[in-house]
Amino acid sequence: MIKFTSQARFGRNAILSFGLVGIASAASQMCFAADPRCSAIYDKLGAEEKAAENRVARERAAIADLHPPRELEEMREKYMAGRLSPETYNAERRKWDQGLACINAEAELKYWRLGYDKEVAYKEAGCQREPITKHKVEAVNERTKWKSEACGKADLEYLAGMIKRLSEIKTDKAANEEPQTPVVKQADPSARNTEFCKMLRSVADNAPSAFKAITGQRVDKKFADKIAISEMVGVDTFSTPVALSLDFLGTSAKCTINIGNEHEPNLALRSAPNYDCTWDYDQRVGPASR
Amino acid sequence: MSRGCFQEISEGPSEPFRHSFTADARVVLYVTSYYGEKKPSHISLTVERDLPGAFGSCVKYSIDKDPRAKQLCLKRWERQ
Repeated sequence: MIKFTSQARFGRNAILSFGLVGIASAASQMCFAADPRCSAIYDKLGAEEKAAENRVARERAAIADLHPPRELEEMREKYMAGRLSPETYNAERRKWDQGLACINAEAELKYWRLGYDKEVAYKEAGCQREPITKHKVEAVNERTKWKSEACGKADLEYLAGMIKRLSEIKTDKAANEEPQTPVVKQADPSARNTEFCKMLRSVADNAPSAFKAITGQRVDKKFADKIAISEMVGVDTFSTPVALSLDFLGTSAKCTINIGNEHEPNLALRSAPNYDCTWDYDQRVGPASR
Repeated sequence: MSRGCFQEISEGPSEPFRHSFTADARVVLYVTSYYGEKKPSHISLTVERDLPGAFGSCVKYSIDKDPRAKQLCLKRWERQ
């Protein structure tokens, strides 16, 4: 019997779980089932969004590797040794910090535009009657403002140098990147007895029985460090024993057990029991999306 | 990767970065990876009980209150 060491979520609407992704796509397919053109557009936009998400992830990985230039490090050493005035060092340091703030704000905006652009394209294609989701519009507007504020302060010449360096990092990373794993249609039995597989199978064995023995403290997850998720979508999160590990990633998973809240009267909205784990390898900018 | 953990799998629809399959005819697994630097930058894995048509029944029940649809729908939360 496996002991779960992570978190259990009792979802009323489960907006942040995969359950909702299923509901949302099923709902949109229900509405436009009569129009195969929209269904094709929806799939195409979904594929484009995935590709764009990967571009954003690559950009973030590159930003994480963008380090202060050697000159700035040397100036810092001189300043620490008292051979350079704080004003001179700080002025140079500010150029770097402001440049980085601008680059980060732009990456953040790109990330929030993913879902927004997809919905706009879907609506423009005549496949959506409702206006663009309010929170998406607000998120994009807010981040556009932040970006222009951050980039307005930056020293343009210095920023150009940073962007050039960033594109070199990206090119270098792309050249060294392993290709995406191909879709394997056959199971590889050699992995069957690894620790990961044993854990995954015991999770799979327990998944159908609704993860009965969940105990532990209530955890109130925050969205954007501000709004409690339970208030937003009626999802209660509990900590409880759990985890799957993937050694080669060098990062541990955040695992969640999700059980539909019996107080949700609408069965189509109540989330089904599932177990999900997320491994984040890169440094994500801003709140993680899922 | 997780495919190799099970005896039998049947493939779901294949997408560039998302793989879904039914393992040993009991659970559905979805795995999504985003590639950043050499390794995946983000992997998410979901394990769900395999109940074909159950979600559809829940939608059907919420619309037309068909008791047979409710029966199949409620299997999603039934403990074994």
